[in-house]
Amino acid sequence: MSAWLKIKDLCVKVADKPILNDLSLSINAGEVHVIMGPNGCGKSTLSNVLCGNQNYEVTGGFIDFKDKNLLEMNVEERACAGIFLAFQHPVEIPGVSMATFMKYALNARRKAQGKQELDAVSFIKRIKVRAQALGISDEMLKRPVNVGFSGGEKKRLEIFQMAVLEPDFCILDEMDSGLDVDAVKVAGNGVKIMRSEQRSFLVISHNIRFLKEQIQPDKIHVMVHGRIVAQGGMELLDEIDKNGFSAFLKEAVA
Amino acid sequence: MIKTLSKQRLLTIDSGQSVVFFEKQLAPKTQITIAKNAHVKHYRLHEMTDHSLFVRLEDNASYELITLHRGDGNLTLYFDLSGKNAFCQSNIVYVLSENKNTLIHCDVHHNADDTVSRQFVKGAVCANAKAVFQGGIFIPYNKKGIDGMQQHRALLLGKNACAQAVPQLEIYADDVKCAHGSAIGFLDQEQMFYLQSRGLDEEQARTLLTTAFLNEILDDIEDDEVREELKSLALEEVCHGN
Amino acid sequence: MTEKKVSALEAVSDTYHYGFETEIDSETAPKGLNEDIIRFISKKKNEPQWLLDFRLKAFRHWLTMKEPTWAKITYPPIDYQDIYYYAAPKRASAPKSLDEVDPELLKTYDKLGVPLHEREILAGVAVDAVFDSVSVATTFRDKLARQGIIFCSISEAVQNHPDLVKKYLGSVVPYTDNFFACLNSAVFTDGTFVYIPKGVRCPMELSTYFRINAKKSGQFERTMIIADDHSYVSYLEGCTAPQRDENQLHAAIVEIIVMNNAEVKYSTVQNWFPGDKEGKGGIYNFVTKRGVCKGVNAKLSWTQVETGSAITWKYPSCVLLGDNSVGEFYSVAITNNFQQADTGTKMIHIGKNTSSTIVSKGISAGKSQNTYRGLVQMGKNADHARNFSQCDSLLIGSCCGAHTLPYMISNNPSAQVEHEATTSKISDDQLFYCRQRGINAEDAVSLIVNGFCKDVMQKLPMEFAVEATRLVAVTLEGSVG
Repeated sequence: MSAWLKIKDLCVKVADKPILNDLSLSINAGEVHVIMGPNGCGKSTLSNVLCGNQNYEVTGGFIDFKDKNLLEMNVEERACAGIFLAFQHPVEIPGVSMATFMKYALNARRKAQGKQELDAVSFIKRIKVRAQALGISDEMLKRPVNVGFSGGEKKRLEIFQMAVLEPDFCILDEMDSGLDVDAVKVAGNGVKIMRSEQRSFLVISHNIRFLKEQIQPDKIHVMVHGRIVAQGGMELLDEIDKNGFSAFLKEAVA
Repeated sequence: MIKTLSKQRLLTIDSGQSVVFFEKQLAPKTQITIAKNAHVKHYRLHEMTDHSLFVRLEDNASYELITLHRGDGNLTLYFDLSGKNAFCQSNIVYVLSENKNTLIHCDVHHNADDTVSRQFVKGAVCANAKAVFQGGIFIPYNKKGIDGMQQHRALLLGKNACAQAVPQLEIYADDVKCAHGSAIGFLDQEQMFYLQSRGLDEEQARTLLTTAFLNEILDDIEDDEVREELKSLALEEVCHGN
Repeated sequence: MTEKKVSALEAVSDTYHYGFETEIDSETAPKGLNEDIIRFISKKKNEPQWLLDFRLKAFRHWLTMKEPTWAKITYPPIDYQDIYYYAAPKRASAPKSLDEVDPELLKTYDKLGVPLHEREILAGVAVDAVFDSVSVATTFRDKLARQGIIFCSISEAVQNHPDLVKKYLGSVVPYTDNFFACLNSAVFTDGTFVYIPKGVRCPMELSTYFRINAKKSGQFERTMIIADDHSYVSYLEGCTAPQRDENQLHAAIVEIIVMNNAEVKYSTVQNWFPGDKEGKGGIYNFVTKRGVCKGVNAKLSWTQVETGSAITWKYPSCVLLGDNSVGEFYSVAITNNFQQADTGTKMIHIGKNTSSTIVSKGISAGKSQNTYRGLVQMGKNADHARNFSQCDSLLIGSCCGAHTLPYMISNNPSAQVEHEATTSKISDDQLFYCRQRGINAEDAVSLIVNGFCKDVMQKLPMEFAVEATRLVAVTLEGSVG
């Protein structure tokens, strides 16, 4: 099986400072991968670069997604091609209700796929079903995007958007940070529901329990100084749980 | 280095210095230049007639002003944030009794990138006094990373008193975050009632609440002597107005 | 609502939709302004002597006045002698029924989406259509007349209800008020007259649709609304003009009188031609709108969405005379390219317990300048009066300007005045978030701007809200590069 997402020798600078150095990574259809690493190792940079954030300058390497060159596409083209980022800090958009927002996003995607816009009834049905599954009330859908929600609610709404838009490739940036136990469970559940043969995940997290109990990834990557320094299965989680990143840090320096 | 001319006082704070000073006897015009990386805390009392203060800030310079104004004349303040990363905080308390009449005019010009300004102005206008506060934040074309904020609150305490406010934002650049607010009103009636229910008479309650309102700014003065002096002068003017 | 917004957005093409010109024979007075022209207009309209006298008095006063320069707008000098002060489609007298209206005119209003055929009417809106200097059609007047409501052109009101017009003309905006109001008082041609009798709740929205068509002509309409005790009316105003290279002058007056316990809601979607991308052409919009809450518990509410005009100079105001009366001002002003807007409101609190609310949202893009200018005044006797103002500005692009200039004056210790204002840009984070969800930059901007304006948009009557939302998108086109 050929990989869906292929990152090869990726180099990225932010404000002239190199953050990612010759990073390579492949993810197949239906797989769930995890990236771990100490703070400042470049994990969030990677998620931003995958989505096309222009504050990050790609100076070398390539990223292919389903045999298309992602680097040639702008932010919304990548989104319409199926890339979804669940933000660590979702931004507020006052006055725009979540329902309206999803309507715009969904129809933009359908237009890019050459499909007709959803009619009002099918749209409402679609969002309501998904909202119910995640315990999101109608009232929450009427409120402006991310305005006045708790941290847990915001994360839940990120998962909700993922469920509505049905992307092929989901990046979860610190989905579990700042959440209480119950909220982590809801977030994990959302991911479980979404898992399929035709959908891959890249999960960025520090939370070993969350990864073990909720995510159960296919592969773990350890990232240090903008490079993948170790790869493995669940056993790697235990090792990090025990020893932290210090062993990997030494390796990276050496 | 301080030069005193007949009508003007010129001060230059050299780069890297940190200075705190208290100015009581104001010349009609004071001009301060704060060089790179210099930091100034400036406390002042304004009791006379018209006065103007010009402050220019160079790169990374900071200026923090706390002024008590109880004069029967106009006060003009002009801040020129001409150096990158300059920071200017100008806090003003004004108290006017009798027939005093004042115009406080304050312009903050963000003439360099990444400059920050903060301004809190609180006033009490008693008896037959009249106060006009005009405060502007100006941001010219092509400036980036500007953050400006101005808050003005005035208590109108005299039956024949009059307060006016003209806060102004004039902005020609988009990478900015600016806010201003202004309010004119009377003391909170619930607070008044609460104090009176504890045995204070109306005048005492009013004086207490008014000075508490003003002291929120004056309490930030770090020097004990200066702070207590300005607070008692503010109290005196409030009592005079009652 | 949401559904409509989306489809409306996508129906948008890239320029001013209403820029076409109607080929119609029109009758114009000679260019220029003098007493003879004023006599000509007055005679054309078969006016009584008192009205001609009012006009001449205004004109003589106008000659002594200077054009105001305090607003934050710049424009080349206006040559007041190079304007036609009267232009009317031929067939001078108002048609008795729609069958008499020139079919070309009906077509024009069809193209503009304004329903003049009563049978095709949308959800109960009665329309007065003003084309250049005259009112060409007023719908539903019979139905309204049964309740005693007068809804007609002001020219007709002068003929049929002279006492009412005479009593209130200039009572809210005297001819001496300002330069443009004075000019209007001398040369006003048509406009709408509304009278709602005591205790009547007007059963439908009343609406005037203004259209400037003739070349080099100015439009000087005058609208008067009188809401008697315990009455209610919601009034809508829309405007468009052909796309022309030259600037055209529009100087209107709106006077509103609200009696005891009455309520008037006045909504405007102003979409005069704003000029092209280089700043050529467009309407100069100098308008004086003012209402007086004469009675106790009277309420006057202004809602405006200003997207058009090369220059907007407009301050819809409330004089809160009656005790407990309420004034409201909700405004969205969007400027792009070379547009200039200097707009806001005046809330004059005179009666006791009067209250006012101001919500203003300004959006500037391109090379435009957008100023909020407002006055809140608490008079000596305005015990316990209250005002709250919120003025927010949004900047799109680094070549535009946003300015906020509120004047607050309090002469009463028990009055409370409060003003809050912010200025910011659409954040890169917000744009990135929307685009990451697949929404292109232009749609994202209009989505965010519509969200920013929501508090005002939701005050508009349904029929206008959809149109206004679409206009936001059209006006901002090309503002993100």
